[in-house]
Amino acid sequence: MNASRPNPNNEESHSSLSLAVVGLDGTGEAFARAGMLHPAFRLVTVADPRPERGAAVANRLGVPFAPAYLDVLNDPTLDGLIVAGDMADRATILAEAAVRGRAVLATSPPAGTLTRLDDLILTASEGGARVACPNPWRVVPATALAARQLREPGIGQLLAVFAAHRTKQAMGDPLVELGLPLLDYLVGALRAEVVQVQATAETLFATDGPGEPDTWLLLLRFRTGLIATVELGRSLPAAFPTDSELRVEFAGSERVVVADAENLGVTTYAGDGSVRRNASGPDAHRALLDGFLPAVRDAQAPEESLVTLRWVMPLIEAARRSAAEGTPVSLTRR
Amino acid sequence: MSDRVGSGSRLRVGVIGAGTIAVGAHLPAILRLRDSLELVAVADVRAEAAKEAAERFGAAHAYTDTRELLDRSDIDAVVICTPEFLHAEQTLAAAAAGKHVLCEKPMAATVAEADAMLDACQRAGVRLMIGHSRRFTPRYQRIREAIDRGDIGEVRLVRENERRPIAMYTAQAGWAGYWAPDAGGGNARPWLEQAAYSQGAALTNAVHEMDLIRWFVGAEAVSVYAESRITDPNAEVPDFITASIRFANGALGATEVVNRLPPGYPVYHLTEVFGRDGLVRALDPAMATLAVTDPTGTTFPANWGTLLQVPIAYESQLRGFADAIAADGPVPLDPVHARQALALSLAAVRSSREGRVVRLDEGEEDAATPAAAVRRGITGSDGTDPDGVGTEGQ
Repeated sequence: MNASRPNPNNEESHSSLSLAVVGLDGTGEAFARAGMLHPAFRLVTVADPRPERGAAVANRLGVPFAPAYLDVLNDPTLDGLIVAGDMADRATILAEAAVRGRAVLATSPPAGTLTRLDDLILTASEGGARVACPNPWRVVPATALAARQLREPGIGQLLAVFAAHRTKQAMGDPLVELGLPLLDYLVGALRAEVVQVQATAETLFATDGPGEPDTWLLLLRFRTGLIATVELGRSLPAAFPTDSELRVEFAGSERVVVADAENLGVTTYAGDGSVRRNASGPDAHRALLDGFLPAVRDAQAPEESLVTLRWVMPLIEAARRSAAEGTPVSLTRR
Repeated sequence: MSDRVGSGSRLRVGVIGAGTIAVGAHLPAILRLRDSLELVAVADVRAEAAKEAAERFGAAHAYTDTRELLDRSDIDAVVICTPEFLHAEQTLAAAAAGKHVLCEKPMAATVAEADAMLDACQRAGVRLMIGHSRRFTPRYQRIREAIDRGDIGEVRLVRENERRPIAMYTAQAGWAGYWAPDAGGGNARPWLEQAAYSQGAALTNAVHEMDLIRWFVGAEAVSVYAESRITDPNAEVPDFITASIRFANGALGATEVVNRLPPGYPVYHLTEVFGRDGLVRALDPAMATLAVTDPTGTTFPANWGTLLQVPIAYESQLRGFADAIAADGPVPLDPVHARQALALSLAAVRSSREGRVVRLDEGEEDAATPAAAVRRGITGSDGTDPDGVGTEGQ
């Protein structure tokens, strides 16, 4: 590979940390773009288990491409790796990077089952890898701002939560791909415990065979009595106006906060009828790189690691069980 | 039977119940359609309300007893605007008197009552139509037309969420909701919030969502799972409900209804119909026609009439009903649809109560619910109204 070629878009590359992106789905490409512009990182190369896709992205971005992704994982000159890609690719790459003791920023979700996640945690621990797995909804401006507004006085009694994340992408199981980060975000923002989940799953749009469901409807009951309605969908029709969109609504008795992540905006409807719109903030991928920086530079344990996500897996698995059995499933206290 | 229903002459109408929906929607629509409709009488147990409505909208007669209105031979049709627990007995009485019936939604308090209404009107040879006004609201009609044209392909998923401000009813002058049959004309708690008379959000407004979802999906519901919640410590029935619905054609439906939002919050509808080839979506706060922007920012009028285009919908609904009678043809909305929407709403209530998926073919819950027991105490087991009450406006 041509790892020594400097990043032409980064004037401070001489003092920055060397970085590679492995797994070039849409998220991987977005990270590569953010890495190219980040003053503290130097994007050395990109790679993908499917070389033709990786080459196309590399060509589009004008960055070096490594045909064999394992060469990138073995490259001792690299300070850190960003692992993205489709779920199956991502888990494989992540395991390979973890066993090599690399500093990794893994896009969420890192695994589809608790068993698989625990395997990754063990591999990373034994390999001495530092794997950060931050939840993007904690830094995407709209959702981050919405969560902060929940902390502010004035929302009153929380009456209902509605969240829908939909995409045109033909990804893996949306319960994991979309649901794991979203549920982790919601529960974190609400600071409340889910005690029951009811799930309805169906293949409504996908034309790629029977496969896994493309649509999930979840009803979550929290210990506080609050009920959240969550909708997850992949493989939406091509006419869907955006590639992906997330809408989160926190409905309080005094204020309603609506986060529209597609537009990177938050709208707050106050009790007096006034409406306030908040402008968008910094790019989420840039913010995730900022958070990854200390783990790479100072060999620190990441703030959000694989272990951080471990708690949400029982919720995912309870939803699976609910859909399979056609009945709500209770969750025991953590 | 009334002494004449003539084509070319005006349909003579009596309105039963002079509450919010009558005064705010049906009576103004009758007035606007005065070229083809004549308001003859208004009945309400609150004498003053009946009198005021009659005077305001030009009716010559006001009654506190429905039977006096139904006994008039110069009334061809009645518009029933009372709470749902009175719909069946009043519809049955109207049918027996030979009056055509336009009845407010929800159709009844139970599916058995709804079936009795269908049967009674069919046997009496009178038209029955249920006021699912959203079927006549332009925005929803445009959505259905897009589906019918094939713009979005086969419908696979429908979401219809509704949120209402807490003051939507109570802030309106003369709101009749504090009335209850056993309260002697006054009650500290609205009947809508009492378990004896109401199922809460599932029937108050989610029956609209159920009807719309059925309409857009174009198939019958197979099963429903619902969660509900009482967020108001003073209420006895849920003011929140959320449900996931499976349909016979494999499509899914979903709805979430919240009725205690801040007073200044606009009535909100998130309507999304996903087809195999596209989608139709309407989100009120984002609709330009509903947003008011001035140099200080954007506001949304807390005016549910404007939002749902109530005048247009109620006028269109009433005109369709009147035209059907004049032409001796079918009403524009088959009451069976209202019956099915009611069955779906009640199945959602049962699901939320029992914490399980409820199949629509399970049939209705045992009628021995608290509300049914109370209603039997009010009306008598034969469905009559021994005290002459039960014309209270909704």
